[in-house]
Parts: sequence; C-alpha cells; structure tokens
Amino acid sequence: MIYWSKISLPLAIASVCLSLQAETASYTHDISPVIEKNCISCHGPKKQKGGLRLDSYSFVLQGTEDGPIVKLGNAQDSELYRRLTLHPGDDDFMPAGGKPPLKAHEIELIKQWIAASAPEKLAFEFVAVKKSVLVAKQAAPDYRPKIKEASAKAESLGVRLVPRSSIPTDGLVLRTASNPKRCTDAVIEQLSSYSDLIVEAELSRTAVTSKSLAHLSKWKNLQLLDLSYTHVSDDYIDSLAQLKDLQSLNISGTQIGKDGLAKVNKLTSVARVWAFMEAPAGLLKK
Amino acid sequence: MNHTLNDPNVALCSDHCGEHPNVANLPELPLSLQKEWLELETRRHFLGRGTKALAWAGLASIIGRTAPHLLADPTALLPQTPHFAPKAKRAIYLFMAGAPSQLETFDYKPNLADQFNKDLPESVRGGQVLTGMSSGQAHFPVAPSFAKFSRQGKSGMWMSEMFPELSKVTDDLCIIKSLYTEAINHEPAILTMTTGNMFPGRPSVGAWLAYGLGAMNEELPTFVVMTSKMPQKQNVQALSNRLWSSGFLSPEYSAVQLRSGGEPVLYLKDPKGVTSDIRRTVISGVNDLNRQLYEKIGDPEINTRIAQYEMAFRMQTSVPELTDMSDEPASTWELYGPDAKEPGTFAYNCLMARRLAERGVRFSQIFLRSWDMHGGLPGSMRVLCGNSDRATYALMTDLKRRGMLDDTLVIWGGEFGRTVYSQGTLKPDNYGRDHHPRCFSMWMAGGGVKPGMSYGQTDDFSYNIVKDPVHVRDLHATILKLFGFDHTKLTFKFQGLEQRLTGVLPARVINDILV
Repeated sequence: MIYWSKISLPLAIASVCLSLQAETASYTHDISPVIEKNCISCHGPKKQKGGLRLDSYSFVLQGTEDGPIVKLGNAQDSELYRRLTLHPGDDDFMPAGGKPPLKAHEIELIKQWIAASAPEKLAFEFVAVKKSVLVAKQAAPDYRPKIKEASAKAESLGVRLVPRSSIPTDGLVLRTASNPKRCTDAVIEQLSSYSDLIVEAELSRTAVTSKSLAHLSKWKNLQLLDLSYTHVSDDYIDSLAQLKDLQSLNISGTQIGKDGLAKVNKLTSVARVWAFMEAPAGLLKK
Repeated sequence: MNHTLNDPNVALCSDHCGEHPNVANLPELPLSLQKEWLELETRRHFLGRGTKALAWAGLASIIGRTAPHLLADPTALLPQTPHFAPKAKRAIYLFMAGAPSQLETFDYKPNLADQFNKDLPESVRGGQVLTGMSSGQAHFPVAPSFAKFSRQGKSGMWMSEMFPELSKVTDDLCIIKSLYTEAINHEPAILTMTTGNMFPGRPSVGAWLAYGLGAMNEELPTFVVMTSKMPQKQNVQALSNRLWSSGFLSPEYSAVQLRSGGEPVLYLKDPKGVTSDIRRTVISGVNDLNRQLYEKIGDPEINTRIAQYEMAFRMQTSVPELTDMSDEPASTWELYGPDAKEPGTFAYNCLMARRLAERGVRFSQIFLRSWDMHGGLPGSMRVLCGNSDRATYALMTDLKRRGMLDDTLVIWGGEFGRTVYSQGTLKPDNYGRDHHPRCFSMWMAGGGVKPGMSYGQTDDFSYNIVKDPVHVRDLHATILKLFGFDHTKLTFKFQGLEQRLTGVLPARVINDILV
C-alpha cells in the first residue's frame, strides 16, 4: 500500500511526500486517522473521559488508570477492541453518547493492527527489514580491483567516484557537488561500465536529463538516486522499476509531472521518495 | 632578515620570512652539513606527521612525487574515507552561545510552580561549588519557568511556548535532556563543546570531520562558520576563531568564516585593475616558488599553503554564486521571513546554511549569542527565542522538503545549563539564572538520529541527572558515529599521542538515539 500525505502550506505549493508501507497497519498511517475521526472529541487534548487520552501513540499504549487498553498481539483481550465490538446498546460501547459506530473496515484495521503487535510506524520497520537483507547480501562487488581505474575515469569526466566507506563491498558514491553542471548525460553513459560498483548517485543540480534514466536504470546496485533540481521529466521514469535495491529517490524540483509521479508511485522497492515541486511563479502571485 | 634572491642556498618562502632559524640562513656552514640538515628536516617532518601521511601521499601524487612505501599499502589509496557507511553526509550546528536555560526551553518541570521562592534543598545542591556570581547569595530561591509548556505532535513531547514555530516539527526532533560538562564558565565550556577540550589548541568538531572525510565540493571550504547579528546587545560572550580552528591538524581543515557584513569572505575580490588572468598568473607564480621550496625542504605545510592559495582562487567564483540569493523562489522567503533578506541575521545564516549544505559543505556552524541571562531572563528569553524560532523551523522544513534532512544532521544547543534558583531578586515574571554545568538540554534532528523522542532525565529541580547522562564526549562520539567513524579510530598523532576528538577518557556512542 502506498501512502500519500499532503502537507498544506500557506503557499500554493504542491508538496507530496510518499512513503512505502508494508502490508500491515501502523499507528501513524492507519490507526491515528481512525481515532482522530471517532475518538478525539472525548479522549483528546481537551477532554480525557475516563482518564483516557488517545491523541498520540504513547497515550494509546498507556491506556487508563485501570490498565492498558491494548494487549499486544491479542485483539480479543484488548479493551479497545472489545468496546468497539460490543452491542451498540451496551453501557460500555464506544463511541459513547449515541455517536456513530466505527465502520466495519475501520474495526478490522484496528483488529489487524493489534494482532500485529500495534506497531507505531511501518516505514522504519520496512527500512530495517531491507537493511538486514543488505547486510546478508553485500551492497556491491569489492571495489578494490577497479577503484583506481574508476576514479581516474570519473576525474577525467569532471566528477568523482569515491568509496562510501572503508568496507570494500560498501560500493562507490558518484559525487558531483564540486561542479554539478559538468555532469551531463554523456558522463552518465561513460560511467556505466563501473555501474555495478555505484550505490549512490548524487546528481542534484546536474545537467542530466531523462535520457540518463535509461542508463541509470541499469545501475543495478543503486540504493540512492538524487535527481533533485535537474531537468529530468516524465520520460523513462518507469524504467527505474528495474532498480530493485533503490531505497531513496529525490525528484524535487524536476520537470516530472502528474503522470510521472503516478509512475514513481508504483516503484515498489523505494522506501523514501521526495517530490517537492515549486508551483510556477505565476501561481504564487495569486 | 636579508634574503638574497639570487643565492640558491637561501630557503625563501615566497610570501613571508622563515619563522624559525634555518640552516640555509647560515652561509658559513659547510655545504655537506647543510644538506644533511635538510634531509633530516624532511625526515623529521615526514615522520612527525603520523596518520597525516596518507593525505601527504595524496598531495605528493598531485605534485608528481610518490611515496612508494605508502602507495603499496592498499588503504593508502583511500585517504579520507569513513570506517563504515555514514548516515549523515553533512551537519548544520546551531550554536546558542551563552547557554540557554533548559528550564524555559526543553526540560519541563511542572512541579516547580509549587516551589516558588522556596530555598533549593541543600540535598539537591549536594555541596556543589557555585560560581562567584551567585555563591554569595544568602538564599537560593527556586524560580519556576515563566514559559508555559504543552504537548506537541504525535510524539506528545512537551514543548515550550517560546518555540511556537519549532513546535510544528516536534516529531522530527530528538531532545537530549541529560547533557553535562565539567566547565562552568563560557570560554572553557564553549571550547569543550566545539573542540572536546577546555584548553585552546584542539581541532574543532568541524575540523575533525573535514580531516576525516574531505570535501564533497572542492570549490568551497569543507567547514564554514557564521556568527549572527545580535538581537540584543547584552548577555554577550566573545567568540574567537579558537572555536573553529584546526588546532594541530593541517590549517586547511579550519573553518572559513562567512562574514555578516560587507564582503562575505575578506580579500576575495580582485583589487581594482587586477583581472582574473593576472590573479591566476600571480597565484601560479607563488605556488611555483612554494613548490621549489617544497622540493628542497619537504615540509608538508608548504603544500597546505599551496592548497590554500588554490582554494582562495576557486572561491573567487564559488562564493559569489553561493551568496547571490536571487535564484531563491518566493516560497523560500515565505518560509524564512523578511529577516532572511538581511545579511548576518540568524534567519539569513540559516538559509545560507541550507545553501551550503545543498552545495556539499560538510559542516556549517552558526553562532547566535546573547543567551547568558544572569538577570532579566524572561524578557531576554522572549527576544532571543522570538529572533530564532521561525528561522530554525524554516531550516528544518526547508531541509525536509528538499529531501535533505535524511542525510543532514541538525544540532541545536549551548555550552551548559542554568540554575533552577534565581540569581538576584526573584519575582514571578522576572529573575535570572546562573551557570549550571550539571545538566542541560540540546536537540538533534535528521542525519540518522531517531525522530520524535527525548533522551535522558533530570531530577525535579533540573539540577542533577537521574537517567542516561550524556557527557560532551558522548555527544561527540555519537556525531562521529553518524558520519561513519569509530571515535577511537579517527586519530592524529601529535605530541606523542594518538590524539582524538573524544580524548583519552571513556566516551560512549548513544546508540539509543540512532535510527
């Protein structure tokens, strides 16, 4: 399930933050909206009926003076779930005071969430899972045999290839910050012969365009791709689906439009996507 | 000194006279002895450099000389590489010089309201020696915070009304409430925070990172410092370049200061009538002379000098591009507010720090002074927080929007805490607080730090730490860890010791606050 949360800003700025969620529910993305809609008027910052507050994860786990309302891993024994599923006529039924009961799918969500031990956030768990996979499998082949040649090649092209760490299988970082404009589509093409060693491509503010995506999508060990403030557009954006290890993608300030964003949305491996787009200048004046 | 340019025996540094007696200044000495001296001097300089030899090998290869025994070592191919993959690629350190009170900012003590004007229990103070500024007081009346607190964000952390804007990003902060230091006065305390030691002469955190990591952007300095215009001209501590010096590391790792008024970097503009070509010719000439001297003496400091000339030349192009903010969209100014248009304000410096981070500068340190509130604390606190709150929030938000907060570490804090008792007369709306090294609060965000959590706990008086103490050394060890370094292994041999930022006393990485 892909989650979109929109940040409303005083300006007409389309700021979209995508983050990939695993299959189970999490407090932050699934449970807190349900609680906010149904429970906060009586169990929030203003009122705490029965000494219960539900407006943060720690409050929900804290429960009341009588004890916790969530028994991790067991919905049936959890007071929260029990009260939601009583007969609406029961004194203990929630929401009380004749307020509309929760929808069936909302109750199901809470049940699954408690059954999965009521996690707060899944984004982090997801990253953590990926990390353990990455430890088992090295990030890239040993860079030692080729590093001299690769960095000399990069230097001749006006960019740098530097080791991410002293661990030879941690891969190389393509670094362009000294003069981003020197890094063009042609440079990306020429570096492709070392692509299996490259795990991070720092291409922010470079001269690369969508043409490079066709090459970059074959850099199979890429974990981080920063394309922010480049002229990359919707073209070839779906080819990034070939990057199975890609975890972090920054497309802020690019020419990517709605169609491209929808395609980015479908990239399943990417845990973190940034797509902060400035509104056109004309829009801001209104 | 009378140097004769024609005399080949005279070792002439092109831009200044030798600082110490040189064998070549003594023409009576037999030539063979002079030669031996020079060889020994080269050897002494080389061996004395210890781990610096790696960088030296890099420089040697740049100028066409090689040190074969070094290049045979495979690690010699990898100068300035972290021990393991870093979480943070750069850091922005908002240094609140003068020591903001923890009681009005991040260490909420609701129970103190009942303690107003009661004497601080002797058992809490535990016989601690106080500063001369308040030790003569007959009473130590408890001063509750005038500032109110409320739970903010999904994390529900208690935030002060002094930071209404920052409160909006509560869930991104990792608040540490249990920092402590040994220093009780500003200069040693600020030095401890910036260099890990209260005596001057040690490299600053930024210098260690520059030394360990090298530059991401070779056109700009790796470590940049900015001081901010003071919102009020009281409670001010002096700042000096001791705080951002490279100490015993090579001078190229010390910070370049971006000035708050006039030219951002002094002497960067060519004088009238001097074109860029002429400047290039002069620098090439000076560097050629320096290279000749290097051939003779082999002192690595000469290469540092060459590198500095080249950096200054590159900065003639890169700094004007950096400081020209006309390319910023309207949304930037909406976010940071009108103060950001005025060079030298804290808001301007925060925006500049984002521009530096974007261009790959490793470590930007912004100093904001006037936090030393011995008296009239509530009024000054309103001024200082009012001056910095929006810009701090803006910087955090800007980094988040651009996807940079993941690998940019933001650090906020001063050099020690302040006393729970009032220094001078206590009124509910007016009081002062003296220096307090036993506990203080800081926050970090991004760069691999866990968001939306607080760490450590103080007693009911915010006087002693009761849970998870964090020494300045622990903080430094943690920062180095985020940048991919084992703090015990990022060393530099000096005065017979493998020197390190965290020194010889035990330091621990606070793993609980790492993602």
